Formats: sequence, C-alpha cells, structure tokens
Amino acid sequence: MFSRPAFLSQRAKRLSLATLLCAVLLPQAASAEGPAVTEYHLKAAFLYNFPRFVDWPQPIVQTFRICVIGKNPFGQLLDPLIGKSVHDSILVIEEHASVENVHNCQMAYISPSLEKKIDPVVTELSKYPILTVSDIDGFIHAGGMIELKLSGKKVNFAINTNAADTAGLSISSKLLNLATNVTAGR
Amino acid sequence: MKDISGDLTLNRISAQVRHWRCVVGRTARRLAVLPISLLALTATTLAGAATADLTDMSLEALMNLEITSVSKKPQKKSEAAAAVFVITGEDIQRWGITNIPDALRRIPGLQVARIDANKWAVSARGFNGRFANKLLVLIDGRTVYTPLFTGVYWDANIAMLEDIARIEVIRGPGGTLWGANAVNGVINIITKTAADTQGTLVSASTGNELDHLLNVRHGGVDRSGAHYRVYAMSRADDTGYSTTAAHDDARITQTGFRRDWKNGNTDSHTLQGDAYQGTGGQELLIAPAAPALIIDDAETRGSNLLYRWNHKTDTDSSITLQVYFDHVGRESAVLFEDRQTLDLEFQHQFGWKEDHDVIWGVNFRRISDDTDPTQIFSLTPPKRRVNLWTVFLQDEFSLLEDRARLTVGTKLEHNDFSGLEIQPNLRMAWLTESGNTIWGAVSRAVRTPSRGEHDVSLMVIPPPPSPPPLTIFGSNAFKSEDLVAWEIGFRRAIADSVTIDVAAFYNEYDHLRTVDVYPQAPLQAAFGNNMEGNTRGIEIDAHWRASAWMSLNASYTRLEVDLDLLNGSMDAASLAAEESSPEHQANLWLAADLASNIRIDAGLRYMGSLKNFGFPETDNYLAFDTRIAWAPRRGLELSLSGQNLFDSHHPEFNPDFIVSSPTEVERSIHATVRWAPR
Repeated sequence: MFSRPAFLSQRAKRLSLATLLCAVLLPQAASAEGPAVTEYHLKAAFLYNFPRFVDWPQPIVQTFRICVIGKNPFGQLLDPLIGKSVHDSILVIEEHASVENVHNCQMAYISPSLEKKIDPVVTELSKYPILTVSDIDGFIHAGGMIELKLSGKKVNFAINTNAADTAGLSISSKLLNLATNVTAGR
Repeated sequence: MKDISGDLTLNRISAQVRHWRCVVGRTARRLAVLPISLLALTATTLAGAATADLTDMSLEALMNLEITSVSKKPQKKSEAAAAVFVITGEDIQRWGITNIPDALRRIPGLQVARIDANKWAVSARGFNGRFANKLLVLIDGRTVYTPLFTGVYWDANIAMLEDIARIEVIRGPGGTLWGANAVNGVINIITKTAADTQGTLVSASTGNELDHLLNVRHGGVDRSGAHYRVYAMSRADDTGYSTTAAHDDARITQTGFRRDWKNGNTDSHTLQGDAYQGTGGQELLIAPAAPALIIDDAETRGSNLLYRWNHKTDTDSSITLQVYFDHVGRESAVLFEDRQTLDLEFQHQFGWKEDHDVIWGVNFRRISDDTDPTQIFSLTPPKRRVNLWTVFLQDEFSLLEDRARLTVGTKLEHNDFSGLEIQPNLRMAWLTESGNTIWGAVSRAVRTPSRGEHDVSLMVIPPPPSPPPLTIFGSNAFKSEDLVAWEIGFRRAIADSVTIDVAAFYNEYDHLRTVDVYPQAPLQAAFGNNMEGNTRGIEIDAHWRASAWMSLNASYTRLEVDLDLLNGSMDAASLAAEESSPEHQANLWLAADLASNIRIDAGLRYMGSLKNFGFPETDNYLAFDTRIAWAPRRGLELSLSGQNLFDSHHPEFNPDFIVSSPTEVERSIHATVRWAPR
C-alpha cells in the first residue's frame, strides 16, 4: 500500500505557510511604486481611444484593423489591444513595411521612420476611408488627420478636419474639443 | 509574460514577420503572433500590461497623464521555444463551427475525432482516446482534465464561442509552468474580458445535425465602474449516423457571468462562474450477467466559480493569486460521480538583474469525490479526497548578445498516488541574422495515476472473439507514466507574404499503462506499467497571404508510434490502442473577404486511417468545410456553414474502455443569425 512519507507532509505544511505569507505580505511591500509609463505606452492608449470618436462611411465588419506603417516604434505595446472591441469589431494590429495593401485598414499609424516619405504615404492612404494618425512633426499639414504631440511629459493631439472629411470620416465634436489644435488645411 | 515560450510575440523576427500578423490575423493565427498567456492568468506581455491599464482610461485622463519612464530601451521580445498554435476568436467565427473540438481539428499535431454526437477523442501527438490522458485542457485557468478516469468531457466543457478570445495550443510537454498531465500538450481556452464583451449579443443557429444553438449575452458597466457580462446558451444536437438506431442525441444549457474590476492602476480582479446541465444519449454494451446493449441518457451537471487577483508591483513584476471551486456531477449507467475541486494558486514574476525573467509559483488542489457503484464500475473507497501540490520555478534569460533566449525551469509535484514527481525542462531559441527562429527543447513530464487507475473495478467486454467480460482492478503499484521529449523547430518568413513553422519531436515514454491479466485468474486484470516506446513526428504549417483580401493556410502532420510490451505483459489491446494514430494528417484552408461585408472560408481536412484492435480499421477520410457570411448592416450577420460536405457520413473513432456504440459524423449544414446591436 502506498503511504505518504512523513517529511513530505511537513514540507507541504511549510509550503502552505510560505504561500500564505507571500500572499499577505508581498503585495503591500511592493505596492509603493506604480507601473512606469513610457511615451509609447501612452500613445498606444491614444490609438485605442481615437476610433471611438470617429464614424466610418461603411459599416465595419468583424475586424477593425489598425495598421502600423513603417518601422513599429511600439514594440509589443500594442499587443494588449488585439482582440479588444472597437465599433463592435475585433481589433487587430497589422504591420505594413510600406503603404501597399492598406485598403482594408480602418486606421493607420504612420511611423516616424517614414518621415521623409510622408507625402506619398498620405496621398496613398487618402484614397481610402482610413483614419490616419502619426507623431511625425507637421503630419496634419502634410494631409494627415490626427497628429500626436509630445508636450513636456504629456501627450496631446491636433486634428485636420479637412483630411477626415475628404476621406468620408466624421470626427465627433468631443474629440475636436479635446484637440489642442484643429485645422482644415490642405 | 514569460512562460515556456516567453512572451510569444514574434516581432523580433523583424517587421516583416509582424506584417504577417495581419495576414494571420485574418485566418489561422499561428505560431505566436499573439501573446501566449501564462497559465491563462494574464494574457499580456509585461510591457503591454501597462498599455492594457491605460486603455481603460478616458482621453481626458490620458491627456493629463505624465510619462514616468523615459526608457527607450526596446521591449524585450523572446521567441517561442515551443510548438505553438493560436486560434483567435475571429478564426472560430469564420470557420462556422459550433463547438471547441471542431475548432481544434485544424491544428497541426492534434488528433481530433468524434466518437458520437456527445463524445470526443482529442489528443496531441498520439495516444488518442475518449479518456486521452496526456493532454491538459484549461478554460480561463481552470483545469477541466478529469482526475477520476483521465481525459476531458468535451460535451460538458463548452463555452459561448462568441466570447472566446483565443485558444492557445502548445504541443509537447507544457513546460515548467503548466499543471499536472501536460505531457503531450496543453490547450488553453481563454475567454474575452468583460470589457471586450460589452453590449448585447444574440445568435441563433440551426441545421440538419445541430438541432439548435442559442447564445445570449449582455455586457455592461455597473455602478462601481466594473465591467460585467452575463450569458446563457442552449444547445441540442441530433444523433449521428448509425446502421442501427442511434441514441446519441444530446442537449445542454449553460449560463455564466464574468466581472472584471480594478483598484487603481496596479490591481485587477476577475470573478467569473458558470453552471450547466445536460444529457447525452448513449448505447452501451455492458455485461452484468451476459453482454447486453442498453440505451442510456447520461446526465451531466456542473458549476464553477473563479476569482483572480493580479497585482503589479512595477513594470516587470507582478503577483497573481487565483482561487477556484469546481463541481462536476455525472450520472450514467456506467458511473455516478460527484466531484468537487478546490484550487489555489499563487504566482510571482519578476525581472532580475539585467536580463532575467523569473517566475515561480505554488499550486494546491484538493479533489473530493463521491461515487456510487454501478453494475460494471465501482471505486474503492467510493469517496476519496486527494491533494495535489505543485511548486515551480523558471528563469528565462538572454545569451549571445540577445540573439538567443534560454529558459530553464522545473516543476515539483506531489500527488497522493505516486508521490513526488520532478519535471525539469530546458528550452532555447536562437534568432538568426536573417530573422528566422530556431528553437530546441528537452523536457521531462509525467502523467500521474488517476483515481480510477488506483481504485477502480471495471468490467469490460473484450473485442471479439473473446466474449467473457474482463474485470480490471486499479492498483496501488501503478506508477506515473513518464516522458522525455526532445523537440526542435524553426520559423521562417519567405518574402513578405509566406511564413513557415516546422516542429519535430522525438518522445521517449516509460511505464505506459497496460492492463495485465492475473495468471491465476484469467478473467481478472490489474493496471500495470508494462509498456514503453517512442513516438516521433513532424508538424509543418505554412501560411500564404496571397493578397490583401485572401490568405491560404496549409499544414501537415506526420506521426509514428512505436511501442513495446515489457515484463511478459500480454496486453495486445492496449498496445494496439496506443499505437493507433493517424500517420498522416493534412489541412488546407482559404479565407477570403469578397467584399467589405461578405466573407467566405473553405477548408479541406485529411485524416489518416486508424487501426482498431479486434475491429476493422477506421478508414481515412477527406472532409470539406465551408462558410459564407454576409453582414447586411452593422451588427447583423447572416451565415451558412457546411461541414463534411464531401460524404454523407464517415466513422471517426471507436471508443475505448467503456464500450458505447460509436456513431458516424454526417454531412451537416447550419444557418446562423448573429445580432449585436449597439
């Protein structure tokens, strides 16, 4: 017959005590500092928020695609957004090395790596109802829709309503009110 | 998250590979483009965890938030040093399937077969059966592996498919972190958070084989700001095909809820639960006096409640505490079983020195069961309480200037039947200059004795031509089955649009279960460990994004099993059953978006033949599945799905141990309306 060695049950008792101690003590001991927030943590959250304030001309079916065009500065920071619900659709992150095959994207983030090619990129994107966002300086003046800006340690954004109108997107007044700058240029 | 695979995000392979994500996002989400969760506890990467918190904040709040870390150091990304496949919720919707086993059919390296309309056999890398014992299955961190007689009751472990976020499948030993019996693989079913299932969703399906499937869910935010959802579902399946009358029709209703809330930015909580009740018909060949066929309605019911608390201590460290209670009851002509499980788990993960990700944890599980004997099945003692302790520790770190990641860990497990079990594993992923990943692993895993193998008295009818029933007794001497697994694999991007994932393994098994007849009493037998051998195989998965609106996925699985009986065991039946695996399996499927609101999916599945001891072979088959979906307006989708359209019916599996009459899988078509207004 099987019998349990005595030392094992003692070990079990010690373990349960250790578990209990860990569970009780560690959280308090460690909760002094909050999680660090990097620039792109914050920008990722902005990307997730924008579509809620925008209406697309056609219904979005099943998948809401945020396309990152150019070198992805977010690393894995966008991964937690995958599978979230946006406009009753499932959010998917796509990466595109260039601005090809973008017509299925609902939203495009243009990486600073494409700063020098911004004009052709924006021109191509403007053919489709795609919400364009970038942190490239002067993005809205190059025909982009939302420009993320770093102001001190905070992030804010500017909007070009004309670019959105041309693409058939309607941006809610709430978002326009929150923008630090609204232009209707180019 | 650093589990066996590290965070599985493969973007290290370069932007090109991440580019597949889109591709893959559309159909088969493979290898590891999504973060694989750790014990299903938290599904985000460490870096991503903070993002997840921020996404719950309003834009106004975000605009007032200050950046607290200026670190531009690239996020640590490691490669999966394991054979991993991920099915997303979108895939499940697109494939037009209505249950979890059907979703698993498309995964290379898994063997999935339907025994009858309410019984399934699902396994990884061989050893399949209704009571397949080397595959661990978890739903939201709760194990649904049956400790009484091993295996998973797929009829009772259902979920509302619309609320599944993803299913992660790891072939091979689950590594250090996963629970007991993750020997040949782990299937981790993860449902969406309550925040991701807001609003009302109603879906209704009906077809020639699926009598009905009704799903209703509502999600909202309560006064305290917590997200919640409640759901209810009802399902009824028609009988499968049989040359005689079939009695395997089944029905089940299930309801449940989930609530997610936060305390500040560092603490997140989840409370969730489900309850179900169902019946599944079966025709049993049992032999109390003389062999006889009886028709039986097996009743199943269960409930569970799970609470999980995650506390982030800083950016790369967190603590998780999880407690769940699970109740399962089954009543059939074979067995009356009532089982309660209490499971407590603590886990701590932290960064150490420059580049180490350490994770350790403790798990305690108490299983109390209460059984009533039937004419053919009894347990001695009828009531029993068993405890399971597990401790694990794992470290993952970089080598060769970040070109390689090494994972070293071990799990110590103590169970009441076989005592202490040590399960170490060593994994390494190497990233080449060109962006490919090559990985390898060596691990040991054990399959611990089930309560049945220890305590059962089971009367079985051997296959013809040996009619006298055999009584099998559990044994105190029954040991754990054990495995040493050697695995290698690579992932590669060819051009921009093709990705290939290959995994190969050599598994060496010892002490496999046999049923050994007593020399003095030839109609009585006991469980023994008198079989050993090896399995080897290769699994290839290739994905081609043909265009922006169409993608193609192909996979191939080759499996060889070579086992031998030892110590004079005469158990040819177990030898044959365990050696019976399809040598070849293949899958091909296509996903196309014909218009912005019309989607079509089509797939071919090939499954090799299975040998049956004392019965004719189960033939190979080629099945064709398709679905077309149309969204006439936002929130409304109409779809028509067909499965097994090539033939009117085919058999897939013969049951083992408990001899119920199998039925064949028929051609099936169902229509679905899904409505999610908002």
